[in-house]
Amino acid sequence: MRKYWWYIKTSIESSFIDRADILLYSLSLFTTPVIVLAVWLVINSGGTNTLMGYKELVIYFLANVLIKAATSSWIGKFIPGRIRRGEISALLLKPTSILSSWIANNIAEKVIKLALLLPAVLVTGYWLAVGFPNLNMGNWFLVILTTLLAGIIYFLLDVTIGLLAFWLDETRWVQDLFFMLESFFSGRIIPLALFTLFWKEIAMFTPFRYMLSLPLEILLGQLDSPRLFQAVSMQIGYLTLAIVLYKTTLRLGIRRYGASGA
Amino acid sequence: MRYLKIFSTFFRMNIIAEMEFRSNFIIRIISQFLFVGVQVAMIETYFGFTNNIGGWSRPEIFVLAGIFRLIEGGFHIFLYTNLMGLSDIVRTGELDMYLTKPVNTLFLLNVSRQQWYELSTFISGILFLIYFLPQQSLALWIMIFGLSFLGLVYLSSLILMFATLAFYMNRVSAISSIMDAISKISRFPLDIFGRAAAPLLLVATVPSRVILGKSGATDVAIQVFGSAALFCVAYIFWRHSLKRYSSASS
Repeated sequence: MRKYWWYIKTSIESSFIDRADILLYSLSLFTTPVIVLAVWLVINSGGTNTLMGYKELVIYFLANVLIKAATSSWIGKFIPGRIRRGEISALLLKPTSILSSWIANNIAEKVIKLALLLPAVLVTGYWLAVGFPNLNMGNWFLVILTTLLAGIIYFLLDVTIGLLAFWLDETRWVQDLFFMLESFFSGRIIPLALFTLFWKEIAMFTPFRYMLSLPLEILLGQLDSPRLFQAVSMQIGYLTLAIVLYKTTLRLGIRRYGASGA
Repeated sequence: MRYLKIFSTFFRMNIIAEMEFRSNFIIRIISQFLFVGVQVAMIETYFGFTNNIGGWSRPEIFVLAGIFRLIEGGFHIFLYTNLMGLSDIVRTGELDMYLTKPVNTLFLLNVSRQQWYELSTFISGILFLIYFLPQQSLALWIMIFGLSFLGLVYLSSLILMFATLAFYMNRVSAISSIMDAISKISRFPLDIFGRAAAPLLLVATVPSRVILGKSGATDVAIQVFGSAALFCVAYIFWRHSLKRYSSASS
């Protein structure tokens, strides 16, 4: 455990070296949902959306900023280069999991991003005159738990896609495809509650719902007990699948791996 | 003429490189069309709740999406990979190789890597416009390409300014995230937000407004002047920042 704490501590320290870069990241994370929120408010002002009112939309998109920052992962795009250059050998020789430094980097940058985004979200929420969501302790716990699980699923799928570089010369198209489907089916731009029945039914069975939308749905109280149980079970199912996929890809990939210079 | 020859050499090299991994090339084109499907689904969802977004009807929003895809396609073919990689080129000292060549460094940087599979983005934009523009004429298409080119100049200048921060910062990997945010935001008619969205109006909203006949000569003048001005600012910033470069070994 001390090793992991050391990893996180050094990652936070090194993240501060790139603080301007993280600030730019945070700015882009904040801007998109806020602009999309403004568009939805324009649509609502002259439209027929009775599914989500002003307060729900504002809470949804502001919470979207924080939950997206807490769940996203970016390591996948750096893994192919490390595999090709043979740098992954150094990670394989360490007495900790290959994931250790990546997890530490992920947590460290998320801590800094959340510290930057939280005040911005609170001020915007105050300015738009919406209070805190009215949830009981159990549901707050579920929001935090499902956010945590969503982050793990996202991270493992992102790493698994990066590990495809053991077989593929080019993995960016897989990442692009993944992020494109994620931006639609996760509820990042359009809340799943506003999807047509056709798209909603598809979204329920993709992993993307469980990588962002689920904690937001719980936060807004959109799920009754049976649907909540079903959704959390699905999320645990996808988490198990993500672990199996990661472990299998890594095991088979290492078997195939021939480091440059080795 | 010399620049055209350099461009055509890089064009040939990049096409050969793409053809070496033909399956990748084809899969990427297919995924680009899937992306179009997702974009259509998004627009249709908005219009499930309203007849217009801030005075823009469904076909007009599709025209805006088409114009943005032309601009985005052009940006991704020529500039995206090069500008995204600038931070690494500066940090590793690879920029030396570009600086020592007897051509404009910025030109060389921006033509060296081209992504021709992104031509599908450009083509999908044309298909949107063919399908959703109420009237078609040669003059209109000349205007479409002219204004889209100006939108591309504006977008490229904006991203170049962010990429140039590589001379001041240790790492500028957030640039892909910024481009992603601009790409998501610019698909909306930003004039509905008034001055708040002013920095991004000239990417696709103003060109689309002119093409749809929602505005006239004043907007064309604003687009021409705005794109030229931002390009000059970005270029001056680039030239100024280049002086800070001190290679990797010195």
